[in-house]
This record gives sequence, C-alpha cells and structure tokens, in this order.
Amino acid sequence: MALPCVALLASLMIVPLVYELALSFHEWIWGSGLGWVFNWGLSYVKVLTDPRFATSLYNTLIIGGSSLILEFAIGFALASLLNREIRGRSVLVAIFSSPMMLIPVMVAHLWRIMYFQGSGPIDPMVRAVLGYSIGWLEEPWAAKFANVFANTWEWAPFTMLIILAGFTAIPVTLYEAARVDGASSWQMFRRITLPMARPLIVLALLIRAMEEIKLFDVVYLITTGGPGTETETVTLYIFRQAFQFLDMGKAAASSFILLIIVTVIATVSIRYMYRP
Amino acid sequence: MKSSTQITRYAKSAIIGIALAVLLVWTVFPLYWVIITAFKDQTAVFQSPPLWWPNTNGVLAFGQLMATGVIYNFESSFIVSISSTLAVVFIGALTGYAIARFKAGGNFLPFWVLSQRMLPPIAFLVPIFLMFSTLDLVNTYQGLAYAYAAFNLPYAVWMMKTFFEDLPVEMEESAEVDGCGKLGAFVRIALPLAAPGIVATVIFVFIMGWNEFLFALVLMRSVKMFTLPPTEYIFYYGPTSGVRYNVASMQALLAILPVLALSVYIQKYLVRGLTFGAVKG
Repeated sequence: MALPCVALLASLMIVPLVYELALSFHEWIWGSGLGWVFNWGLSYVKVLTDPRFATSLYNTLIIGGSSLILEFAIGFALASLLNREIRGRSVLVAIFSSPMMLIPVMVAHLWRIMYFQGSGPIDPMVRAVLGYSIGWLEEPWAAKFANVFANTWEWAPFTMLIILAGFTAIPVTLYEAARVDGASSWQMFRRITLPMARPLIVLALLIRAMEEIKLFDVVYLITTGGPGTETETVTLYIFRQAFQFLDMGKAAASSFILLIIVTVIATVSIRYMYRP
Repeated sequence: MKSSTQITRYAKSAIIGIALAVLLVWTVFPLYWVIITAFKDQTAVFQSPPLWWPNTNGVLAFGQLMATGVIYNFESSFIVSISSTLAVVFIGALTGYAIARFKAGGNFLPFWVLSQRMLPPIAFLVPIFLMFSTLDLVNTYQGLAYAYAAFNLPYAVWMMKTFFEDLPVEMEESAEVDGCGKLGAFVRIALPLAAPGIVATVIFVFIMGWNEFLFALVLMRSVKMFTLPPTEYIFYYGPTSGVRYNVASMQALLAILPVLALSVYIQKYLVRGLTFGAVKG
C-alpha cells in the first residue's frame, strides 16, 4: 500500500538529488552548447569562496533571525492575551490566524504597496514619529526589515496558534491548586504556564527556524534581493546562479550546501517532535 | 466605593483590551490597505499624502484585470491544485493507513517521508527543471501538478497517519471478523470515520498548491500558463510593470478569497496541520 508513495517521492526527491549531486561536480553553463565537464568539486570551492554566497548566508541569518524573534514575541503576546475567557475568543483567534493562509506572494504585494514613499500609509506614520522618511525599498537595513515585517506579519499567527495550544492543554486543576496555595497570577504564569508549555514553544520555534531558511516568495517580490545584494537570501542566491547566470554547476553545489544545513536542523526538529 | 483589587482588575482588563486592539490593527490594516487600493483609481494609488479610503467602485480595475487574461491563470491554479490534491490524498490515505495499522516500512518509512517534507524546495528546483525540460513536462499542467504532488505527499501521509491512529482499531477488527477483509475494513469503516480529517487534509493540500510560487514561476514558461502567484509578479517586473497597483491589488483580493473561504473549515485542524500531526490541538 505504501508503494505508490515511495515511487512518487523517489521519482521527484531521490532521483533529482542524485542528478544534482552529479551536476554539482561538473562545470556546466546552461545553453552554452558545451556539455558537462568534470571539475573535481571545484564548484563547491567556487561557492564557498564566493563573497556573495557569504553575504546571502548573512542576510538569511539577519532576515530569518529577526523574523523568528518578532514572530515569537508577537505570537507569544497574542497567545498570552487570548489564553483567558473573552467574549468572541474563537472569532478573534480566526482573525489573528488569517494572514498565515494567504498566498505569500500576495502578502508581499500588500506590504510592498504600504512601503511606498509618499503614497503608502507607513511613510506618514514614520515621518510623524521620526521627523524624516525611510526609503523602505532602497536603504540596506530598511530593506532587510521591510522583508522581516512582511514575513513576521504572515507567520506570527503560526507561533500564536501552537503556543496557545500549549497553554490550553494545561490541566485547570494545576491552577486551582496554586490558587488555593495563594499564588499570584504572575507566579502561576511563571511557574505553571511557561514550564508546561515549553515543549510546544520550542517546537514552534524549530519549525519556524526551518521555514525561515526557505524564505523566498516575500523577498523575491518586495526587494528582489536589492538594493545591490543587501537582501539576497540563500534561496535567491541559488535561484540567480541557476536562472540568471545559468551556472548550473554552481547552483547545484550551493543547493547541496543548503540541503546539508537544513538537514541538520530538520533532524533535530524531528527528534524533538516525535521523541518517545 | 470600589476596593483596590477591583480597580486593579479593571486596569488589567483595560491593558489586555488595548494590547489586543493594537495587535488587531497590526493584523487587519494590511488587508484593509489592499482592499482600498483595489478600489482606487490610478492617480489615487500614487497620491501623496496617501488617500486612506477608496474612491471608485472598482469596476474599471476589475475590467482591466479581466483584460489581462487572468481567467486563464485562475483556470491553471484550479487545474493544478485540484489534480495534485486528488493524487496526494488518494496515495496519502493508502500510505497513512498502511503506516498507522500495519506499521508498513517499520520506523524508517514514516520518518523518511517526513524528512522529505522538511527539505527546502529550492534545492530541488535545478534538477527538476532540467529533468522536466528533457521530459517535455515544462510549461504543462501535468508537470507542475506532478511536482506539487511529490512535495505535498509527505504532509498528507503524516496527517492521514495521525487521523487513522486516532480511530479505535476494534471497529476495523470486528468488521474483518464479520468477513469484510482488510480492504473492506479500510474502505467501509476507516475511511468514513476519518472523513472529517481527510477533508481537512484535502483543504490543506489544496491551499499549499494554490499558494506555491517558486515552481510555478520556473516550470511555467508563458504568462497564460502561470498559476495566480507568479501572475502577481508580472505586475511588478513584466513588460507592463510598475503602474497598475490597483489592478494588482484586485487580483490579490480575488486570488486569496478561495483560500479564506476554505480556511474557515480547517480552523479547528490548524494546529495539527501546522505541526505535521505532532500536536493534536
């Protein structure tokens, strides 16, 4: 019964990887008319010594890391706020979780039109507070955070839902016992809620960390890696090596380096999620 | 006169209310902005200081959007998402059941399947594009649906596995005793009982196909074949780029409507769906 599944996965997950591994040890410019030339792994050397690749790793770390921190902060705040009896709680949860369902490219679009200088709504707000305006799509650090905010907006609901699930799974009897013992609500939060929900908080962060590395859609539409290579993430680097510079050997080698990084995080996550 | 504990309680709920209101604005405002942009005319979109409310009825923008041939993109999105979803759910149900009930593939198979889901799609882009070029699968519905089926299958397998594991095994056993056979027990007992979960999985997988951008952008080589996400990109970097943000917003709105409608149904499965079934929620 599992055979069709294995066949489908093998044909588009295993076969391409073998093909890509072979390609990564060859020199090949797509459309050049020349065939594959074996180059003893020179593609890996080229990628690892490419300052642009290092920059893309750094950008992924900054954009992904900042998103992760903000997603956690907002998600945790929302979960804590919603972890009580409020009228219309389920409606609120539904509204707060809606950004996550949207097409990521459309999320990028709706943030990009807000970043416009002059005609976007963010510009007057920034000018009212800071007294000058920020070129969200032109200045290096602003462009990084333009991506971070859009990404955070879409995925903070994810951490909210998982952490909220952790909070609501805590048995009420624990709180009742603590109240009998005269604990304050802060003490209960600190001593019961946090430790009990910890596994799910870690789980949410692990899954999001893995997804941040794959970030592509938002960056591709909001800044397309610019200005210069200030927002070029690893995914965008691979995409450009392949479809802009047509250097398939280098694209394959950088894909493999990315795969190794993600595999390490994925192994840790899976161990954590399904440990006995 | 109110006691001090009562006052602190009021103060506390006021703070909670304000915090929730601020976060509600953060969540809803971008949606408000895209909606009003879809209902602005060309000049209002670029007006500085910005116009904070719509100024047209949207008919013109809608007409301009239709003139771009967006109907073909909707068609592509539906064809690719639905066909890949059907394949994924059929194979996923079989495999999920085999793993849940017969421990198919022991410990290795389920975790191998799951690990495939965690890998970054971009790492498969180059070889799949080159393979599909050789196989003439580039710029076809079949090719893109095939890729989506492979990428979303691990997810479906794990969702189905957890839904089948939740069912009491005794019912299937007694059906077998009554002469139903293993296949009969699966089709007549397990499938109907797991139906709500299967429908949720169908919706999740459909949404993943509907939302995918990277492979649609690379595997489809003509604008007419594009699914909706890469079409949005055309408004920015295509030949007629840079000006028609009201039309782009109209398209964004229409493209996210099906997903928003479906998300109502899966609300109660969201947590389970987001954690590959690790958290029952």
